Order: sequence, then structure tokens, then C-alpha cells
Amino acid sequence: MTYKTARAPHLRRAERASMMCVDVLIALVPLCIFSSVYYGLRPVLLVLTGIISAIISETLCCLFMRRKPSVSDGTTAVTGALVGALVSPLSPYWLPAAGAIFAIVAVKMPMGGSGRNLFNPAAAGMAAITLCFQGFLFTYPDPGLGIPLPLADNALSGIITQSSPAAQLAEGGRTLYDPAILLLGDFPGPIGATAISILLAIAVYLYIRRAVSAMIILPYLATCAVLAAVFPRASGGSWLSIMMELCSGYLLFAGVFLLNDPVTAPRHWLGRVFYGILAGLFVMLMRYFGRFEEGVCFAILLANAFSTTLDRFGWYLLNLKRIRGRRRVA
Amino acid sequence: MSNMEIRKNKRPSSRKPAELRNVFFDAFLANNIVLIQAIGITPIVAAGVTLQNGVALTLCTAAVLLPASLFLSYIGDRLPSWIRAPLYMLGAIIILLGASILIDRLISQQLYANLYIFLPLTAVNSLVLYRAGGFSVSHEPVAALTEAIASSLGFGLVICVVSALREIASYGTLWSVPINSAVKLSEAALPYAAFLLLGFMAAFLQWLKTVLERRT
Repeated sequence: MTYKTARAPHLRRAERASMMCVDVLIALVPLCIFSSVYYGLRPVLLVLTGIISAIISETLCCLFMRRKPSVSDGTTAVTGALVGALVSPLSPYWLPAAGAIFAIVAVKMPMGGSGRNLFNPAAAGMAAITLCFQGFLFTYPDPGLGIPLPLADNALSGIITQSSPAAQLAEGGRTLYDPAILLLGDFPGPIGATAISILLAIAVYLYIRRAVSAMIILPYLATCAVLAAVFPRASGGSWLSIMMELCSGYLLFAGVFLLNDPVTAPRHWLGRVFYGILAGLFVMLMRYFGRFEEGVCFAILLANAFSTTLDRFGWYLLNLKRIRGRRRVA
Repeated sequence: MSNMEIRKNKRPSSRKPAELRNVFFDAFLANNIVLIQAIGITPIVAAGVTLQNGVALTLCTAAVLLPASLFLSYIGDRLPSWIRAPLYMLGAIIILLGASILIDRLISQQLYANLYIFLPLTAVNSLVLYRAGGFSVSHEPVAALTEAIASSLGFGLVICVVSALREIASYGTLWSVPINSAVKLSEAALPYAAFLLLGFMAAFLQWLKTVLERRT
């Protein structure tokens, strides 16, 4: 008898894990196009820098570990692209490269590579560059400029910048943005995270392709919305507060792309619900008490740490009757 | 059989140089307290930011660990086990109070200002407690002393490497002497950098151990 062996992550579907990565990469394309309509070719180049540096560093790591290069499974490209899509369009090219290299060299490969990482590599890369280079990361260009950004790093100094909704929320008080503008994505923010309506469409696409689990993203968004309504940071009513919190920063992007990572998310549906709720709680706590205007990546990493426990806890709750019955018999 | 004979039988005779060497290398590298047993990470993460801090913390740890190990090796097994920890803690606090006065008056007030919150932490450090309580009670004074020196050196090696790297990265200096380093990253002084360094150092030590085992 022969056993079929396959590399992790082990999914129960017939399709291979690389198909899911292709889906995620396809989903990132409209976000890049949206950003390049506003800012020219620079956002696309930033995302490509992330992808290429992730692939190069993974290949080097595999050579160093004397392993067959594992770039072809696509997870590396997804990590690099996610880091690239979360930096500001104004950031220098080395910034997404630094994030992607940290994600692969310090987080993914030491744990054993694809399918074995305890923490989401893209979130960890973002955390590292948030801690080290927040000045570059949180400086966003004004989307109303109407001219493409210069492609060279040294020509960026004269660009008009604008404070993002996340920064305004962190300062408190009245905001400049109304819900219509937020839904259209006409506000300063990270490359891939401002196009709210496109992100919602992508969430539906990935849900149909089964790369996004409703059991994670719905509890996550619900928790964030409830907390935003109960403890608003923006003046102007709880609805505006909910819209501002959900659309600012990269909360929605993280819910679609980072939380649904099949490696770090729980497998069981009830565990996933708990995971979503916990992630939402951490995100809002990071926003209320955090040092940075956007701390979603830290919240995701914290939630990752609880993933296995929540999975087991969910399974335990669902099988409580059976477990108790077995104990009584014994 | 008298009480003395029972004690002698219980203790492995470890006066031979080869065995002492084994004890030393076991505590120094093969079972490094920080990298393998993950005890005593707190002072490294919190205070191991400059090489001076690192050396000072190593000296403090050694100053507590050596007397405690000797003391417990001589009379530890005559005391009931519940009293060993509080008694030891009291002794450590007395030693460190003396050390802090010495540092403050004689060496440098600046260093004392940097360390004053961590000196009490060292006194109740799980590293010292665990070492002094576990190994030395059941071993002869010579072995216990060797083990304590090796443990302090192992701790010192790790904290000095971590703090030197962090000092170079975050301040561009080494032992307060400026160094021309190309990249300056002030965030290396944050705790996460120490955790990362410790993780990679632990992995390196594991790799070294497997390579050495394969060779023998």
C-alpha cells in the first residue's frame, strides 16, 4: 500500500494550496490598479518590490538550509505582495523590501517554511516596519493631486501629504471624511487598503473561491463595529464612528487577507468565530491604547498566538456532551 | 549507618577533573541556562541594551549565584526544602544591596541609575533560584561551584553578545565608544529585538549541538 504524501498546508479540498495563493494574487490586482489610477505606476512597483524581495530571500534561505527551493507554492509571493500592498504609496522602495525580507527570514523560514509558520509572515513584516520606520509608513500622499507620483525615491520630497482617517481618529475630534468618500476610497491610506468597495467585492470573490471564511471575517467586523459604536473616537454619531473605524487604516484588508491565512487561522468553525472576535477585540484595543495610528498587524499576531487554543476550545465546547458522557462511563 | 554516610552515598563523587569539565561545559553551553532552558530572560530583554549593563548584570548574577550555590551545597540538604527558597532570597537581597551601594558609591552613579530597577529583579530571578536550588543541593561544593561559575559565564556570554549587538545597532557605540556603523536603528533597544536575537542564538546553539553530535 502506498501513501500519498503532500506538503503542508494540508487542505481537504481537491485543489492545491497554490491555487489559493493564485486567487489571493488575482484579488490583489484590482487594488493595485485602483491605486495606480490615483498615484501612477509607483504603487505597482512597490508591490512588485515586495514580491521579488520575498522570493529572493526565500530562495537564499532554502539554499542556506540545503533544501529544495519552495518558491513555486506561491505563499512567498503572497507574503511579499501583502507587505507591498500595505505600505504608503510614498514610501521608498526599500521599505516593502525590508518588510518582506523580515517576514521570510525571521518569521517564516526559521519555523520551517510554508505551512509551518506560527505567525502570519506578512503581519510580522508589517509589525517590524511599523516599529522601525513609522515615519515612512504613515506619510500618505494627497489623493486629489491628479498627477502620478515620481518613480525615483529622491524626487519624493515635494509631494503634498495629507493625514489619513486613521491619524485623524488617533487625534480625535471632528473628521473630514463622510461615508460616501470612505466607500469610494478617495482618501489617503496604504496602497491596497483604501478601496473599500473593491475590498468588499474581493471578499465576496474569495469567499466563493473558499479562500475567505465567513466565520472569521463576520465576527471580526462585528466586534470592531460594536466597539466603535460603544466607544466612538470620532464625533458625529455612532454610524460615522463605525464607518470611520472599519474603513480607516487597513482593518478591512487585514480581515480579508491576513486573518484568513489557512496556516495560522483555526480549522474548526467555532474556533474561527472566537478567533475573529478576539482579533477584532485586539484591533480595537490597539487603536484605543496603541502607540501607532494603525496597529492591526500587532493585533493579528496576538490573535495568531491564540489560534490553536481557540481551535481546541471550540471543539471542546461542541463535544461537551460526548466528553462528559465518556467521563461518566469511565 | 550515620547521617554523614548517607549524605556521602547520595552524592556522586565529582572531584575528577574530567567530570568537573563535563559539568562545566554542560552548564556553559550544552544546557545553557538562557538559550536551552529559557530561564532568566527578563534582565536580558529589559536591561541588556548596552555592553556595560550586560557586564554589570553578569557580575551581579555571579555575585549572587556563587555564594548561594556554595551555601546550599554545604548545608542545603540539612534544611527542609520549603525554607531554602526564602532563605536564599534573603541572602540574595543582602548581597545585592551591598552590590548596589558599591556600584553607586565607587563605580558610577550613571550605571546605578540604569540598573537600579533590575538589581532587585536579579535577586528574585528564577535563573538563580532554580540553579541554586536544584543542582547544588545534591552535589559536592566543588562541583556546585564549578556549575555556578559555568552558569554565570553562560548567562554572561549570552547577555554580553545580545547587549553588544543592541548597543551597536541602536546607539552606534560599543562600551560607550563611538563606532562607525553604517545603519543605525534605534528600535533595536526595544524588547522585541532581544527576543529575536535570543531566538536565533538558541537555534544556532541547537544546530551546533547536532553538528557536534554527528561528528562524535
